[in-house]
Amino acid sequence: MSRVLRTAATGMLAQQLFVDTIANNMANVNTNGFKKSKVEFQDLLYQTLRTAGSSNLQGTFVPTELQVGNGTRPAATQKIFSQGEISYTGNPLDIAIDGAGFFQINKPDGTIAYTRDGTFKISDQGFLVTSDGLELEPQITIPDNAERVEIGIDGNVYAKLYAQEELQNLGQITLVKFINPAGLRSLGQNLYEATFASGPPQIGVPNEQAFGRLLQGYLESSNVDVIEEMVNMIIAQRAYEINSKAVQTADDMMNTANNLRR
Amino acid sequence: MIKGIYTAASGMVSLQLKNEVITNNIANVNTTGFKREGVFRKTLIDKVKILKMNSGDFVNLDEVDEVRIDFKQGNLYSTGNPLDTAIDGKGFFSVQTPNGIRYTRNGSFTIDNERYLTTTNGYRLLGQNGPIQINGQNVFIGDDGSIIVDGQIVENLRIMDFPEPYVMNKIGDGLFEADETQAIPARNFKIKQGFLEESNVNAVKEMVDLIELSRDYDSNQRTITIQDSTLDKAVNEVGRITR
Repeated sequence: MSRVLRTAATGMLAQQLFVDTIANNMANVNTNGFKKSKVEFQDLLYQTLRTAGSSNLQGTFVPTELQVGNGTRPAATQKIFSQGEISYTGNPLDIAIDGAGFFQINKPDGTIAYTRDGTFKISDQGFLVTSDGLELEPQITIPDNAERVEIGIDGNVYAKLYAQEELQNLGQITLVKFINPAGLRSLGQNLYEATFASGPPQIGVPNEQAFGRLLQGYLESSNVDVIEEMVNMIIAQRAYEINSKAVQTADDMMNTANNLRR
Repeated sequence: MIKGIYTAASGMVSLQLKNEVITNNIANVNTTGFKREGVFRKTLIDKVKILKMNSGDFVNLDEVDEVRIDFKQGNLYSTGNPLDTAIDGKGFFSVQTPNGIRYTRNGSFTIDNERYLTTTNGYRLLGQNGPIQINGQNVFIGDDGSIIVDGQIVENLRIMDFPEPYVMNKIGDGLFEADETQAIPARNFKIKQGFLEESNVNAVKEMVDLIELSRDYDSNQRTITIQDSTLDKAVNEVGRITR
């Protein structure tokens, strides 16, 4: 009997995690370059009460097992890397990736993280940095006498310097892509880290193969769809409720059994 | 008289099992590719047969005959993820596990570090010629289960079906175990890329079953207490000599 309570509890826990994920998606509905997550559930192990092939009272053999399940568990939270909407900002250092690539960011500990958030700024030393001050890799330095910065769809960065006619090439932004981006680990601050499951990063130049082209003056919005999240929230909440009803029913039944002897 | 108490008690025992099965269905109302289970109790004729067979007053307590998996198609919903696949129709994906080939309807796949298509548990998905390696960027999965990488057909999914009624056992993680020798290539199915199959649990139906079950349980309990009080009368009052 207590198995029912445990089974229903796994259902409630799973729905809680579902709501947690939805809430995080909703909270990031306006986060640039944010990719929504999805929870994947699986059923738990089954307990066999009667094995297949055993004989029943009529002397025939039962073809299937008599099995009772033990509930559900979250199997994975998967990032969905669909393209977010690309919106115009007019800021010359805002860069959106239209494709599958990621920017590389140097973390303070020397390792490389990856991001889709292209809101770059200029640091006090003239480097291109994220909003948190982390440097873009490969390093791009904007000279202090630059009047204008142009970024091509292939990642080449040019600057129009003061009192000069020709544009000066400051370097090329490279991108990486992953065979399985869903396997990337989120680090917060819009950054991702490569894992065993994502595969090693493949470095390439923008506008080639599937890396995607760079769009200067644009930003990629979050790919969270509010309506979809609202619908998921309703589904999760109702599933939570019905699981709690299962707990209540089990409780009622135990109460009934306890009242057998008055 | 006493037999009646046993019959009602056996009803309560089997209703408890039914409750466990319904609760498991409810817990998996959002589990991708989950197939609900129904409890079938022995028919009245079967019960009479059992009673006759076991001459004397023995009553079979094990009333639940079968927990049968309901393989009805679940709704398909779009996820937009290129590696999410759903089977529209009959058949199962074949998955390589350490204990042999297992089957699943959960088409939420990912790629492992050696570029093989796997389930979220890391079991490799099988094509006609074994595990499926993806060497390329753009994966397209056709209606017929063909896997097209960068414009080239590299493999066909191994979608298998079994003679009905299905004799399959669940082993958890969305996997089914079946007699491998019975497997036949599935027909009349369509593979939908970017879709997943919802659990086929219907919350309304499970809720109604739960209410019905709860009331059944109550009435069985009432039957026992009534028989108890009748016995009480028979034992303590019929034989009493009044002055």
